[in-house]
Amino acid sequence: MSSSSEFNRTRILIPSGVLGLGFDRKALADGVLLKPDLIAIDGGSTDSGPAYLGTGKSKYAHAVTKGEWRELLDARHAAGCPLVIGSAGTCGVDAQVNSMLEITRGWSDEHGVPLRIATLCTEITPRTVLTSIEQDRLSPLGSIAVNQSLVDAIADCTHIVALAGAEPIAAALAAGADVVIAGRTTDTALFAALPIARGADPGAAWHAAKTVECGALCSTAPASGVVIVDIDDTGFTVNALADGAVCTPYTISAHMLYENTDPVVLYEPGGHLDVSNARYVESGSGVRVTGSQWITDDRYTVKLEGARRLGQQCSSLVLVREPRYVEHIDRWCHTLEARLREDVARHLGAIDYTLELRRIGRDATLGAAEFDTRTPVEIGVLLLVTAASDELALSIAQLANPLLLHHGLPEDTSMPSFAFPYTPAETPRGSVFAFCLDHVMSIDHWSDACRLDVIEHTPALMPAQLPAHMPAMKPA
Amino acid sequence: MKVADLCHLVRAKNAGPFRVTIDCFCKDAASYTQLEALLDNQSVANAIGVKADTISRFALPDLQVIKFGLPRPVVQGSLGDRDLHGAQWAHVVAALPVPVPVAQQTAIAPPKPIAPQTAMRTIATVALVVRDYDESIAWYTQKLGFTLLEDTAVDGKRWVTLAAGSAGTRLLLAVASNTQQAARIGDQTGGRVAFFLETDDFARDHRLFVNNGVHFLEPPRHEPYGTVAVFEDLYANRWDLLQPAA
Repeated sequence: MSSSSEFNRTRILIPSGVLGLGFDRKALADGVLLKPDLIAIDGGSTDSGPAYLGTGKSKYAHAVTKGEWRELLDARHAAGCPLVIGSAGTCGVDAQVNSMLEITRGWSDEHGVPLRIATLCTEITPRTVLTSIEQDRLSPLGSIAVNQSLVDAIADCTHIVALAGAEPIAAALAAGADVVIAGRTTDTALFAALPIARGADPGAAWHAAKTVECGALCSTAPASGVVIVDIDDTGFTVNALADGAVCTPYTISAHMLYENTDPVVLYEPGGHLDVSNARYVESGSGVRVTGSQWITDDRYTVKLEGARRLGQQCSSLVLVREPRYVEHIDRWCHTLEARLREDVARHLGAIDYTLELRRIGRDATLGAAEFDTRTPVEIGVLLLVTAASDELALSIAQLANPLLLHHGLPEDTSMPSFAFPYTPAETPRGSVFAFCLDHVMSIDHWSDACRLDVIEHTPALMPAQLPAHMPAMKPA
Repeated sequence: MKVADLCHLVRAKNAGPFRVTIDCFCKDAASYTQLEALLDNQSVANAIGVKADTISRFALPDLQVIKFGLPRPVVQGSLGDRDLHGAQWAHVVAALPVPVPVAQQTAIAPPKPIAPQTAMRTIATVALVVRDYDESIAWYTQKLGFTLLEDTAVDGKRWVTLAAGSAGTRLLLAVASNTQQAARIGDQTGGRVAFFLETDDFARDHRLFVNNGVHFLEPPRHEPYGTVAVFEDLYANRWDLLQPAA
């Protein structure tokens, strides 16, 4: 597949953009037959919001994560190469790394296959970040200044992770790991580490990594998942493996735009990728890319993510179908909110809370930016209340209940009734969180923000002891 | 004219929790040139509600893309955020008006009658019965990259014509005005292929259409007369995409 020398080529098989989304089984099996040097998959993102980092949970059902990870362990065994996951369990906290470790141990026990498992824990304490502020090692990426309110926010964080770069992944692979389970990493580090360690051009390795981080999203069939990439000392060649999926120079070059505000530059720990001079040409059934550059920074920084709890939330939804109320929905919401705030003050006193009424069908998605002024058939009014405790949030939503049901416009003489779609009308939503760190922390060595453990896992039952119906798997 | 009329895709997405990126994929080189000249940071800033000096803008002629990067008005998932993935800002930018340059106004405004020349006749316009002007204009311009030549109000109706390129036979979009006409939407020929779209590069256009979500009824065929595949439009009218044999 590669037009370049074979000896220095690193072939990486990517099953999909994220563990939990599914992949094309036939394409994955075809990929295994192509003898990859590594199977690598991303496990997370901030894309689903701060609740996952805030609570330390995964967005995917455990059964799905377990099932897919076990299939990838099968594929790794058949391919005889290491398997790497980055950003385990959506948010990459240590507990998610441990959960993946347990699934891996279970597979090993069942199959009678000993495994060397490397884990990379990337959770850091608020204390570590506060120390970095004292040492002037924390720099903002955007508009959140390093000041007392940031210090307060950091102290409130339930979880903070430092996005690992390629170095700790490379160290885990150099330790001979069969399986690497990494906490939060950059989306790209898990793919770039091995080729760089094996002497590939770092510009090619990082650009290849950015290209394949979302699996087949860089192809004409984004949902098909499986892609394979060959990285060497002058560039990389990428191919989509599912039937009907094709990588073209257009799809590959356009992918650099995805989830990246700068179309040619990508910042990573220890430097940045610049693809201004990249050239994309068709090569066989895939695309060959050359000319990408890696520029090493004299500082080594890791990006931080932190989530802090804002409060407890309760929601309620009512449907307004009466045409006259649909027409006057602004006034209805304003007068309802004013009345509700009076009721809260009367019954609950001067408490801290926020409430919002979002008009689904009018402007709930875009807010003030909505430009379409057509009158809808009906409007769903979504109440969101946030307060210090579940009890307070629920109490406010309960105070809103009769208003959502019966609030009339001031000129009305009869009492209208609106539609609650379910009962009870109040839905406690638990804790709500906010991302509060948009910063990089300068460190002396990757191990200042990431812990590598290497575990020799010996199956509880060795092959000879396995029942006859479960033969030990043989490496291909 | 709107930004959407010049683009085959306008896409927005988070770039991390604090920023959003909006990519305008132009239909062709001419659309790109026009959008590059006319869509500035200020109009995007006004529409989304951020300051213009916080927006970065990249013009990418190779990809025919205008790209904007900006801070999210509300940090992702924080109180007051309405869209976790930031994808809906695309609708705001797609709907931004783009002034039509004077040169183009004169080029497309008057329907040019086909001049009767000596022994020369042309089938200039073919009527295509549709359900709705805007949905069919959107489909043919966005999915197939057709050019909207005319859209003028005439006696309570609209005179809407499209062409595959800037010239050639025009399609007149005719909204069905009674049940008999409505019954013919998507079936003007009793199930036969009704329209034949010729291209100079089948592979390019096939890929483009597939990318745009056009439904092909068969894989590409190589016939003595050329490479061909049948696709359906939004009403299930059948079309040939055809590159005649050299």
